[in-house]
Amino acid sequence: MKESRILLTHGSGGEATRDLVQQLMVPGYGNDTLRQLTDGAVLPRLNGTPVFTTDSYVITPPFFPGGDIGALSVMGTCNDLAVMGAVPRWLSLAFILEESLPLERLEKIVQSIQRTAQEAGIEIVTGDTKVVERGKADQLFINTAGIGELLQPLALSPQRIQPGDAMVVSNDIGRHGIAVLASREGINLDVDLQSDMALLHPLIQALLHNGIDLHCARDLTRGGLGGALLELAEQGGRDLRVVETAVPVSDTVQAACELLGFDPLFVANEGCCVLFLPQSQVAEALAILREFSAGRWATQIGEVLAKADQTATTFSSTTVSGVRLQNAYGVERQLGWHTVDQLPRIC
Amino acid sequence: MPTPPMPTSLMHITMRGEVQGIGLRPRIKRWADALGLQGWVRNQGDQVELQVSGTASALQQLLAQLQGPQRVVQFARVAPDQSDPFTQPGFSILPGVSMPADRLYQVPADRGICAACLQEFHDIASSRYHYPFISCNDCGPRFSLLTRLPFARANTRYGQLPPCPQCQAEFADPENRRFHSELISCAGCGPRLLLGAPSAPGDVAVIDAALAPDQIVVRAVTCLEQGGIVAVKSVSGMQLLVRADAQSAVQRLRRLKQRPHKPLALLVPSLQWVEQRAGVLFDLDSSASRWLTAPQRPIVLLPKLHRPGIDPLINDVANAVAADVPDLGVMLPATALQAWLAQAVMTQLGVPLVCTSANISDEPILFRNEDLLSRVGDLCDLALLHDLEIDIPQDDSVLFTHRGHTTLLRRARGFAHATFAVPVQESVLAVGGDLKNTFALAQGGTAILGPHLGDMESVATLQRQEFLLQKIAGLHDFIPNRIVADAHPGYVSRQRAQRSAGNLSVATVQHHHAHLLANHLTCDLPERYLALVWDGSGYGTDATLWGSECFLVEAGKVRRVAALAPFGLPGGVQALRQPWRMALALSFAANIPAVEVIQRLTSTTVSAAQLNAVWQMLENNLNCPQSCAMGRLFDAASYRLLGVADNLYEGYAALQLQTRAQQETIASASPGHDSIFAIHNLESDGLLRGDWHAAWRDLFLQESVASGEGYALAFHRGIAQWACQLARHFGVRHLSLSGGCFQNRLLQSLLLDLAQAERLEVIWPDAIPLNDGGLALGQLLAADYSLRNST
Repeated sequence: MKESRILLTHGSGGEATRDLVQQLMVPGYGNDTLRQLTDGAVLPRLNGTPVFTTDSYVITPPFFPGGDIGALSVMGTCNDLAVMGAVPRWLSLAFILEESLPLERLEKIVQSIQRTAQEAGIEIVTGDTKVVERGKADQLFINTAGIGELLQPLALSPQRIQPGDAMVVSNDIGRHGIAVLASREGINLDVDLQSDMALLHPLIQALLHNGIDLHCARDLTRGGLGGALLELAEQGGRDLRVVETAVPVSDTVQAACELLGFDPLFVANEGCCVLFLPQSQVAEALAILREFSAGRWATQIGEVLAKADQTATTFSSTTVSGVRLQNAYGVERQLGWHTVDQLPRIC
Repeated sequence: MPTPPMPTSLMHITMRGEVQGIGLRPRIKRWADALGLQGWVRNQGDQVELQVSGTASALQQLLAQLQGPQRVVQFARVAPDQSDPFTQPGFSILPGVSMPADRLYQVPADRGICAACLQEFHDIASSRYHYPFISCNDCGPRFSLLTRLPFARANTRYGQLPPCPQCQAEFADPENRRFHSELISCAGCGPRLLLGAPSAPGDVAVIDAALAPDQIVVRAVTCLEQGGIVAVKSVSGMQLLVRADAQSAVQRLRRLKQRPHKPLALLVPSLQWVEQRAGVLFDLDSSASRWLTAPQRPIVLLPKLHRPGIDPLINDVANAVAADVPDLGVMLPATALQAWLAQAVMTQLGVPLVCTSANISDEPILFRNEDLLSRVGDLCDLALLHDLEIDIPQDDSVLFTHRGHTTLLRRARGFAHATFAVPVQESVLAVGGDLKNTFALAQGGTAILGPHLGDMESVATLQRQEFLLQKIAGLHDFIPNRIVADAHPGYVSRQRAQRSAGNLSVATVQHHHAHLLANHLTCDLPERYLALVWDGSGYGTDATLWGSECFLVEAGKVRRVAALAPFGLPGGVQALRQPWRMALALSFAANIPAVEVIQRLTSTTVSAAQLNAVWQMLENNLNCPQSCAMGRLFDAASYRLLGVADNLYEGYAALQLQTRAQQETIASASPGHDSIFAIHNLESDGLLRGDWHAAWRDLFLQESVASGEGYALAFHRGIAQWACQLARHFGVRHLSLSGGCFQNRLLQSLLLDLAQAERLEVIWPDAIPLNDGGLALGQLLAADYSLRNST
């Protein structure tokens, strides 16, 4: 590899591509299946039900405090499998690289992918690399798809949420979004803030393994805790009540949110999930979660109400479900779907 | 009885408007009897219908008497019909009948206690002496107790309380003051006053049914004397009372209600109390006096006077009641019980009461006995209740008067029953905005604007909206076939409407457009005029936050023609809460160097580090939504001139600026007296942009600005001048005003002065609030009217 930067020829499918894959990627995260470099991966039969997911990763900057796009592209897909209740097994990995991306950077990302895949216990079994002209991509984009295996009969699902269920978050929220933003915008928040990136399946599998009757889990990514809860309330047809003061937010994130004008409930996370389980098992579940560093601040944040608000049906038969935030004085407010840029609604 | 003259004419008359719940039928009966007319009168839907026969001159006299300022009288001569079952000698009042709901009905309003009833109440010889629910044809609850139309005892909560023989006799006696008074009652047959109190300290409150009203009031006054908080179930909801002179008691009330800063109002026993303090504590003009005693009994904001050395005997109001605001809110008793308590406290303690709605801040007013009883201990110490259920809970209305104009700030009890004529035939529900929410219904050319509800983000307020909507729609058999909401995608009111609409379509209307349409409906405006809608922020059609909008209305078309040059709101909603961010944002937009800005804006409350970080946000355009809202200019000036760093409640910073500027109008020697915050118009893409950059630079860089002297007034004058400049530019003679910025008494004054000099007419409604409380009415129109935004 003479060039220190990615060239268009690296994505041509010719010699340069082969060199890149052979010299950089295969040594990085290669395994027996990948090393064959066939058009597809032939996978062994699974005992449990397979679960399949995919996600694309575009993030500016690709290296941020506490992580990089490589680790993210493995963890994000593993976490999608994790919150279905599955154990991650196999991953596909596709790069879209921008012409002129320094090879050294790609190398770092590949190493990071390798480390994360190893930690996750997932095998990267197939992949692809394309290069686009300068300006057509922001350094690099990654797509991964993952297959996981359910070790129990039922997947976790919003439909399984029961009235009276407890809502638990696995860790304090908002660190990823604020860390990425601060590093991208060069805003001096005068604090050391790292992304919360973490693998979630060890936590969820530990809960299941210890007999916690988990009903539903959702990883808190782009839309934050608020976005996830709003989706779940709608999908599960339930009213959710969140006790605002119980939601774990670090002082650092809180202060940054106040300064920047963001609601921590809607700030992105990459190592955090919300869990629905019977109230009777909360103490046990929290004890298990807190054994993990990614579950250190696990807390119950609220409960599922008996049924969606029926009074909303003045003029139609539609049932409106939603999320209520209860403040320190017991006053409840309706959590609204924030517009992308959190446009102020007060006067 | 003499033989009636030969009928020469038969007339059928219908009357609309303010015709029910005011004793009109008994009055008509008396007039008809006196004129020797025959026939009948009855309530029909929301109108009064009568058929009357007699001599032509007697009929003419009756017609003259029927005319009234709030009434529409229609009459037709009809042929005598011998088969009319009602034709019998004399003139009778027939039972009311309902009508098909082809339109929305005017509902009778709750009316504050009248002078005659008050006198009777205090007269030991009267049969209703100290009867807390005394009422007559002129006064008493109406709308808040209605379960059906038309207004009749059976259709109210009084239907459960049959009148005693004595009351029945008065009801039937044409000579009696309560002849045909629907809610006639006395201590023997009326509602009962109940005391809710914990049997031991710390216990849950229970109702003690054994106490007589006199005993209950003694308990209440003792509690108030000791600085306690007494809750009272009034006409349309629960209220909290506390003695106004005790700073610590008022502060405790604020703590329990979680209302740390917003001003509170006084309940005073009489107009006399107000008049004694006029010219010393506050100003009182004749229109304010009229409103204080009007049947609506609103809270009237009286401009405080800043005179040193006020006699402490006259100033019996603790500072915590209404600190840091230019006005003091005052109301007179709306019910006998309020009058009783206010009078007793005044007589025994010599002080007025603070009166505020019983609720936690941001939640709707409590109105059910059980809800209040469960709060005794954490919201109040004692509860004075009664055994009648309230059907339509409403807050007290709030208004102020200035130079003959009335500005309604909160439209609720006493006002919210009225109908408006609208050019909308189909059945439309408008859900209003998110703050100061009210909803509106339209059908068959009539509309109803519901009472003030509050902030829709509160789940309890949202549920109250549903509750009231069902009640009020139920009164009118109203079922919408279309729903209208604000265009802001983040508004809870809009999201809720969209998610609960089922098969109905939800149309959206731009915020300021709805404001202008509300004025269009409620003001007398010419064919061509300029509508200024200046407020804190509203979602614009370009996805930025508008709020200094100027629309040209001509030939039934509306065009947005001018607005302020835009600026960023650094931190979005935080920029609305923290005026210092606006001072920074305007300085950034006006190209003042960062060093200078940060040096001058650093204060004890705002650090250089905060300013630097937010400056960075402006440079990176990070979470800085674009806006041109006038309210934000007031915020920026308020921080720069007065150091107001936080909006303790909506409009707080602007209110501080107004207070300071008003002081400057008195102290004419202020250095900035002649200067002005001059906004210049620039043409930009077919829109006139009010360029404030140079004006802001001047204001910002003034050396003496540290004291704020003079410039608060200069700022207000500049804003008023821009309004007139716009009128001149577009060659209009009429300015229609709406939006919260025009609730500023000083801005109103300056505008009225300038308008007089330029022969301009400035117009704003007195029937609806300028703030978002009137929004829903305008939303109705945009759903179904040709007056649309043509751009």
